Amino acid sequence: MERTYTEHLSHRLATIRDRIEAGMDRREFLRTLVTGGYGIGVAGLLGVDDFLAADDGEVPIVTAFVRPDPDDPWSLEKRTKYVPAEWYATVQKAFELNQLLARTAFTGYLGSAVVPGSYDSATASVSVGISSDAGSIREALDGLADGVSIDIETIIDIDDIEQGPENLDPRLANSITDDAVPTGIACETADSLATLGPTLYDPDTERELFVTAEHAFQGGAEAHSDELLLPLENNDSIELGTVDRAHPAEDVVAVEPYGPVEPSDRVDTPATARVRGQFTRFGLADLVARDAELEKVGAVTGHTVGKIQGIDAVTCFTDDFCRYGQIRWGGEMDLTDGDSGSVSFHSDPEGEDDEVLIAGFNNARTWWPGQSYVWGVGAYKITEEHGYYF
Amino acid sequence: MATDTASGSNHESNRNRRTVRGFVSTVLRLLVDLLVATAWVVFLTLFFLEVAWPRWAFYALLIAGIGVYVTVTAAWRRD
Repeated sequence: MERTYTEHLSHRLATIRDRIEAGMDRREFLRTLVTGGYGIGVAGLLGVDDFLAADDGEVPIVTAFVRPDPDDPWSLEKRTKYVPAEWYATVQKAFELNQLLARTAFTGYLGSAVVPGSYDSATASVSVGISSDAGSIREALDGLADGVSIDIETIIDIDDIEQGPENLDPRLANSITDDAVPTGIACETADSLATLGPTLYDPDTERELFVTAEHAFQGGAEAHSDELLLPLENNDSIELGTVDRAHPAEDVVAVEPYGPVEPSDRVDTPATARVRGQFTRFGLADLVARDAELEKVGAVTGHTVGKIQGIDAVTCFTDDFCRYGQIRWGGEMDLTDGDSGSVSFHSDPEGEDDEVLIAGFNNARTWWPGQSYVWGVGAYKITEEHGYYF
Repeated sequence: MATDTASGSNHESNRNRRTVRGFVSTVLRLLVDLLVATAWVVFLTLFFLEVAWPRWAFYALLIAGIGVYVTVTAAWRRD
């Protein structure tokens, strides 16, 4: 193969030389040089070196956005990684297929999720949930995907919402020591208990906000009127702030601090961790490919660890609309009322031991038989839709 | 004498016209060359994004393609 190529090349060079000898003047040679130089310049402008720098058969992906300087949260840095091109193409195709399914939203469609395979296998699958009375879809979906396998899960008894155990012994803030509340501690609305997330940065207004689940406010959070409280161990509570913006589709509410108590990027794990940034969609795909686990700290269930079951998921189980860009992970025992608003995270592969990157929120869990996971919106989706980041 | 001058000026204006035409055609050829080179680079970039071949292959194909293009078009122009 190599030999025939070089033979071919030398043959071509010989023909070119023949032509030059046959009367082709220096001008044509010069023309080749000038046009070639111009072509290389254009290639440089197009940035081809970025992807050509990868090893044979590899492509770069952006896995995360991190804040390199803790004192300057408004500067972000991207983390890149080289992954097999075949794996990337398959996962990309699975994302597209998943979005196609979500857009079509055929009758009986209850949601779907992308499950990237390992790097060696270079596979990916889309897991589609359909209601039990929509069996004919199975044939329609077969053969739709090329190279991406589709797993169909029939979901039964979806209407039967089972209440979680009313085990309300939440992790409360004992007292405010450094005027900043770590994530994993309980917060309170007028209606219910939830878990406080880490600092949410709003780059548009350069504000640092509290964040929790929107559904903790019954009937929807009202901006600039509903308040978020911090219950203390001594039955007292502190007012944290008022709702700045409510995002029901993502089930996230951003709360503007009143001042004395500030949000924090500390995580209340046994060994305190610090949030450095967040994973991108392909960063999450990389975690799945490496079989990595996510962690969370909920106010009620505390610190739990679990496997990622699907990313870029669409869920149409609750409400009359679908939620996009969700992460499915862990098991349904990992979440109960009062844990909503907690974040899932994984240690920063390039950072210090105690530094973590956020995957997304944990807002709900499965309650029907056959499947067991926690779900919530991915951090990348919130950045895409509203510009906030961790 | 008069005819001599006339033919001389005719000859000169012909030459001028030829130089102008030569200049215009050189600029046009250069523009076409650059356009073709741009198209070739864009095509190669899209192609290499798909196949993920190594860097040397990209630049080899880039220059070889332009070399072939120049030889082929040079042969046309001589005809």
